[in-house]
Amino acid sequence: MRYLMERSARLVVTLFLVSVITFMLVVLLPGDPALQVLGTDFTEADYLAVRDELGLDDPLPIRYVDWLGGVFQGDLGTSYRTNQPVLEAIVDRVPVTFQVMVVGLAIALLVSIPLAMIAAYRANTKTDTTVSTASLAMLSIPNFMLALILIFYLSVHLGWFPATGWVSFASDPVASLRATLLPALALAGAEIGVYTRLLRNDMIATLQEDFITLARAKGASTPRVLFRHALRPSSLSLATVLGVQVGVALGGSVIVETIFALPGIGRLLVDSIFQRDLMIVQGVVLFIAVVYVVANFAVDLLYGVLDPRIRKGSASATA
Amino acid sequence: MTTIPPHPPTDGQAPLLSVRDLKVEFDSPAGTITAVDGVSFELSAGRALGVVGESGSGKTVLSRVIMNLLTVSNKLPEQGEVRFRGQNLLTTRRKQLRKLWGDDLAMVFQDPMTSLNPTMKIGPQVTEPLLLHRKISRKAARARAEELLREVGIPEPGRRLNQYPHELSGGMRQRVTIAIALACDPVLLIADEPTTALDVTVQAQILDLLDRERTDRQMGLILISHDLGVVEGRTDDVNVMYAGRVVESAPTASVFKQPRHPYTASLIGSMPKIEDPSHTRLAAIPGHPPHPLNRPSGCKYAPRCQFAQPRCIEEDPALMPPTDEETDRGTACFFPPGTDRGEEALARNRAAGYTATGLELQPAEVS
Ligand SMILES: Nc1ncnc2c1ncn2[C@@H]1O[C@H](COP(=O)(O)OP(=O)(O)O)[C@@H](O)[C@H]1O
Ligand code: SF4
Ligand SMILES: [Mg+2]
Repeated sequence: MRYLMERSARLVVTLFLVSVITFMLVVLLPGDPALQVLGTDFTEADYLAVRDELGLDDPLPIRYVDWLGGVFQGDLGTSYRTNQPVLEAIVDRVPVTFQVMVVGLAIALLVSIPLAMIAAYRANTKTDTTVSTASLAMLSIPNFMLALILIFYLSVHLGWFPATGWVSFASDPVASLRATLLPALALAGAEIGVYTRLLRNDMIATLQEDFITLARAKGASTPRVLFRHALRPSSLSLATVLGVQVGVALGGSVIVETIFALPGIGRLLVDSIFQRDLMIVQGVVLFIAVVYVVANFAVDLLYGVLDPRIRKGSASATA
Repeated sequence: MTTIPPHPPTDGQAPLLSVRDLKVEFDSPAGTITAVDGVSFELSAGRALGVVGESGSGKTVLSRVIMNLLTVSNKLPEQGEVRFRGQNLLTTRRKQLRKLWGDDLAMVFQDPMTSLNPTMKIGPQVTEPLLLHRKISRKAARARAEELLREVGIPEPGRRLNQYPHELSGGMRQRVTIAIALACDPVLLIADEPTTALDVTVQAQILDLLDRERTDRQMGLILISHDLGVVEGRTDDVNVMYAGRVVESAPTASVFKQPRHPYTASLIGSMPKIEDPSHTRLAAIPGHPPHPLNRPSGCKYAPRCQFAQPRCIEEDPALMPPTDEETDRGTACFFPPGTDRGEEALARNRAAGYTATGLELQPAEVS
């Protein structure tokens, strides 16, 4: 319980800092939002009216509080260009990004967990070296390269998957998953490399433990020893990186969604930056930061599930 | 190397466990490390064997190889054989071994802090061998686990099943590992220093528990310790190990009455005595065991031995009856303490003031 309170307090402080930084991002960026709203043809009075309406001349703390108050009511402002509410723009795009991320994560875990186990079980053999080399290679391929390779072979060459475009899951689940697979793979590539290497190393250490020998001395089979006894105690570093990886994947979605022409958050961010649509940029950045912070909060809670000693002990056990 | 079993099977049946010329080596960058060097012994059903020796003498490696449970990557193929009810475990397939492990063969480790899985509740850890080896429902296994915990002296066993290892004291955890070992009524239990990591007050309780369970279940027990006192009164026979060898093998009572190897004599000499005030510093045996990569070619104990003679540097003694009469025991020593040869050798060294290896002796010292 104390653990949960500590983590929650930390979450609130982090979210506060995130909100301040996101707010300042727009304030500090060059460019006058009022000019954007007005376009080219306006009078001095129009200009002052818009500045007043946007609250641009208020002191910063007041502007921050106003903005934050809006955020709490789900009002992230409206796009200067299209007048669409920022929240609506984000909510429209989120399912695409999340679907790709979740499928990518699932693929990465499904591939890397067994690979890491085999490598750890056969540590320092040819199998292990092969897996380690392959995962290092995966890690070194930039996601845009992997994306282009996948498009070239699997869609252009073999025609198995659409190269670009999006179908929503609600309208056609199968077509939607087909559209998801290549971008998800492009995101999963580096993740597979990271997870396999991490889990292999921790797993090798776990397999030296007495409780693993005891599990074998009970007559447990190798798969049972690996999955039932060794996986959980070996996955703390993996969980940590999983949290960080949410941020990496959101960042990666900017590139991957651009290449595959997917209408997700990443594309929204890129387009808004090019169009200098600062309200959208601010909203998306805030959204990504909040998702990232919350994901890492979830990882903190996951530690407690993975290792019961942390649940009871002080927070220093996780530091 | 020829050796004699201290207790040849009398009933004509194969003994429960028979270890023959067992040799275990490891590959290391500096050379081949011989951890177990030609060990032979037998254990009959229901009997208890103590294995005693300083740290590094090969006890843990021996115990794991007996179960064929040692899988470190730098281990070289074992030589010799380990027969369990006549079946050589060193050549038995892994799949067959898994049927024996946890069912007929069980093990208790030194450190209960590390031998239980920290991420699993006690319940599933105790029921695991039952579920693996018995056709039994999860519910029945749980009931049996509770019974087992009660049997090994754990209060509130029902509640313990839902606790994690870190919520229990060291002594309680060791009771849990014993309950796990006993779950499927093994015929052979190997306990590798089961009390070394525990408080002195808890040690006796755990040893008594093992002793009681062995008697009740007619189970064979190998009790490993670096402390001769642990096996005294709790084992039928004892093997004293030094540098990977068994240097003395005898009924436990005989060993304490008259050790026939200088190393055993020193171990007994360094045991705390009841008349000593508690906290007297123990007289540790001077010197160190030889480094496994650099063992003397003659008797491995010669550099520390007060009896050492020139022959001990030249020749490597095999395990043999110490005298013509004492056919139930063996010693790997040319000059066994308490025999004429031995006492003459010691007297010679005392007179000279040093041994054949140059170890200085205080003339006043009485062995
Ligand atoms: N995997 C290994 N590689 C190299 N040497 C080892 C290995 N395991 C054990 N040894 C060596 O074997 C010897 C016996 O070790 P061990 O059986 O643990 O002794 P004990 O249990 O009597 O203290 C020691 O010298 C130890 O260093
Ligand atoms: S007397 Fe010789 S053979 Fe016997 S233990 Fe001493 S050195 Fe070894
Ligand atoms: Mg040991």
